[in-house]
Amino acid sequence: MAASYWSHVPAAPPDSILGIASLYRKDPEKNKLNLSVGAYRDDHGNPTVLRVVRKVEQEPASDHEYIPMAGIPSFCQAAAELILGGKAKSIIEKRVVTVQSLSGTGALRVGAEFLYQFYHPTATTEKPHVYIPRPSWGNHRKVFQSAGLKVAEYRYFDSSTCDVDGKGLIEDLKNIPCHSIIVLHACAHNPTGADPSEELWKQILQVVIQKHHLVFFDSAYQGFASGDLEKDAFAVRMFEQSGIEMLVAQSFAKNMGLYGERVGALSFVCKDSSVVSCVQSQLETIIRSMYSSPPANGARIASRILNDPVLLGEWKQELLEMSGRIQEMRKMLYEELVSRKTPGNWSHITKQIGMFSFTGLNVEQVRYLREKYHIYMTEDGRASMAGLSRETVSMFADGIHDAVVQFSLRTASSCL
Amino acid sequence: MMKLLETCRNIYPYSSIRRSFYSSIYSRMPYRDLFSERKEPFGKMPKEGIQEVWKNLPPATLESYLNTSWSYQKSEENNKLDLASDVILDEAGNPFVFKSVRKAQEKILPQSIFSTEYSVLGDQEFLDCALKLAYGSEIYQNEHIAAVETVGGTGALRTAFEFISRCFISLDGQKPRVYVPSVTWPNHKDIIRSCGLKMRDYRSYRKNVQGIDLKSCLSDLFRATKGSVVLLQTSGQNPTGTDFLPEQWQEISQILKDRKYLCVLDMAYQGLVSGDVDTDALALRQLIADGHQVIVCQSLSNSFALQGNVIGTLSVVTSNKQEKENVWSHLRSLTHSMHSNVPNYGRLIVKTVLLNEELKNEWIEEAQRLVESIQDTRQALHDKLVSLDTPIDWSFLLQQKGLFLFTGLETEQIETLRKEYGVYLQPDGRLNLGALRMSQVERVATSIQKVIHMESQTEEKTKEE
Repeated sequence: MAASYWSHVPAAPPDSILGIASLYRKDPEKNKLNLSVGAYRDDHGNPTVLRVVRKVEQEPASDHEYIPMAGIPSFCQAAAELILGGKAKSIIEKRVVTVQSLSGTGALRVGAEFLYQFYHPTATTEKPHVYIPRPSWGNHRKVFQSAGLKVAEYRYFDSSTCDVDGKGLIEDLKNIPCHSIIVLHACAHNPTGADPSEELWKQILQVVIQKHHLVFFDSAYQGFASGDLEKDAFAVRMFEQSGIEMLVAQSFAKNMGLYGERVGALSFVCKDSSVVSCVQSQLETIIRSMYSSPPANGARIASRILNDPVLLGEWKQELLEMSGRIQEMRKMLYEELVSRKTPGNWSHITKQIGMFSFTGLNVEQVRYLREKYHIYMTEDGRASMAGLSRETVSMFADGIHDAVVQFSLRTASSCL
Repeated sequence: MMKLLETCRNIYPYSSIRRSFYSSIYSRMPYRDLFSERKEPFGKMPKEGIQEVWKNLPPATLESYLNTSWSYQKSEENNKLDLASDVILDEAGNPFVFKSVRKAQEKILPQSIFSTEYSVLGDQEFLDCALKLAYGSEIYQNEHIAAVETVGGTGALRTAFEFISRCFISLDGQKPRVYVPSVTWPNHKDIIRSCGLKMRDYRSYRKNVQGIDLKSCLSDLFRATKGSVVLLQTSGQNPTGTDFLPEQWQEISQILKDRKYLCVLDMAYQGLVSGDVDTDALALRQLIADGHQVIVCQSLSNSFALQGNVIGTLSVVTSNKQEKENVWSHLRSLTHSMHSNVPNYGRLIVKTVLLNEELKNEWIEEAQRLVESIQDTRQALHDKLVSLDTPIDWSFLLQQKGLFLFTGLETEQIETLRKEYGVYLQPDGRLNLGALRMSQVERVATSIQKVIHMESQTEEKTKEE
């Protein structure tokens, strides 16, 4: 037998989320709790299907035809209006290009490929780097690197205050070279849950205009963070109103519960409507050599919901319920920890917003929770508040209390 | 090379000459590097005020086959007939749906597809049944075959070539060159190019030769650099419809072994070529039996008539469990950075059909009947063309297999067919039999005959002149 082609291939660097997910799967314990994956669960710990999604699903199945490479047009239009606002100047002036993508990851990847090939703001061969916040979603770095772009970080989270490091953020954005690509989380920052204040957003916008940075928004939780679609899109809309050009990646995985169907959109806000057709054609070329055309099912459901006023109202109602439940879980967890007199300041649990909370636990504490309590979190201390329920909150609080007390002498994060 | 591009851009700002020059450059350079070495900025960057980043972005050279579907949609004629795209229609003109697939959908319906646990690890059950379909239940062993789900056949090909670009070192230590059939699905070349790999053609189809031109094929493959990558289609060649015979596969297998080529198989029409899933997978199974470590890009969207649901798998045959784990980690990492996970609905339908004995057998029977009806359409078109007065021997049409008919018409003839008669074929002459209904056979045959006569008339005129 000839030598194998692949004997020299080393294992790829391990993916932290996948690693935890496979450990969770292998665990035989019945009362195990998965707080590592960002999937919303109801109060009984079961995956939720939104009622409005279920309603649309029951409608007669449409036939399985290929959809255009850029996706279903009604979906693309509705997605752009959702994030930018129906009355946004850029939409009325027809200078927004939107393509359907394979959820948030797909949108980021297609955007990254486009930027690698076509973003040449200066007359040098040194290509602009992509700057992601520190910390950010684990896959951001990999997605941009796979497209060939170099990735660096800007300061974002201050672990001493468990809040956004506004001063450090602005300083970093001012110090990096002009025309860099800046990735910003639109709301409900993943993994920390700490969002910039309105004032800080204004400062960021000022620096972006001054330094001519290209902004790439990642919006995965619109409606999920505060329960209000307009409020969660505040930052994106403020940037759009200023007239700058930017990219927006949207995901409907969490806010519409369409995880498995990979529904997302990538929008380019351009200065002039004359470039729209060129940008669209280049995007289609990139999509064509990646997956030909996007899947139809999920986008059809999303399009139905976004374009029908009645269904849209029902969806908004459910968003309020889901975000409300998460806020309730945060409050309960905080109260449980305070009642146990767990050492440390836990107010960040209620101050942070969105699905995740950066609990402040270190690696040893996280591993202790996993081994003794069968509670699974990612090793940076991120826990999914959406995975908690009324029964499991006290178990989680017990675990945190125990872990903090056990390892209190070696606490890494000073915000506890 | 870049200086030439700049000069061209300056002299011919927006003309079609520039466009065709670009397209010839496109075919030679790896796509990824085309603009990334550019020195001049694209956009309009004033010192103060808002930047216009995309100001001078050129439009993409729209491939001719996409132009066809675009012009079909724009056309306002009533009797336009689309035989260019690859949808399968039933006799009424609606998208064809297998009854077994419909039953599977009804089975899934009561419970929402979103109520199943969302797992980042993928669906092993689906992978197992999809790969057993391809490899055969005896050969398929979980331990040696690293597999991931992909977004359709295109996603599988893209991931495969990204993996090759990342992890496969040719015998001379460089990135390998990929050998593609000279007449193949146009997207193959785009995908390979966008992974930064260089390509060469090998001949396998010659216009007036029936069947595969094995002599040229083997001689081209023999001359390739040792340790290159060869792309092959297992059955139902798109677009030529001309497959290798079993004995020809043996010769291919021999040359792959002698020259140490890595073989990438594109499997997109299993079950829809001969009507039997095992016969269509014979090429793959023979190569496995001969001990080749193939890479298989499987598309299930066509086999189950689920276009629009982009379902596919990518599998890499390795030699032991450890290798499989390592390779799988790279495949997973690649798909993860492209789209995290694949859409659920399509693979749920396929899984439901394949795991249920009854539905699976029903699907196999229906596939057979579909193939028979396509054969009938092929025969009818052939008979009609023979009965009309044309100077061409149409017997080669009956030799071709699968969903497509490679008519061998010239570009001008195809243009005329589109403009004058409203019949749309792919620019390379491919006709989709799946979309051709029995009631339209006569119209298509007469249109083809007229177009050929027109061509021969103009030839005679120029001869006289």
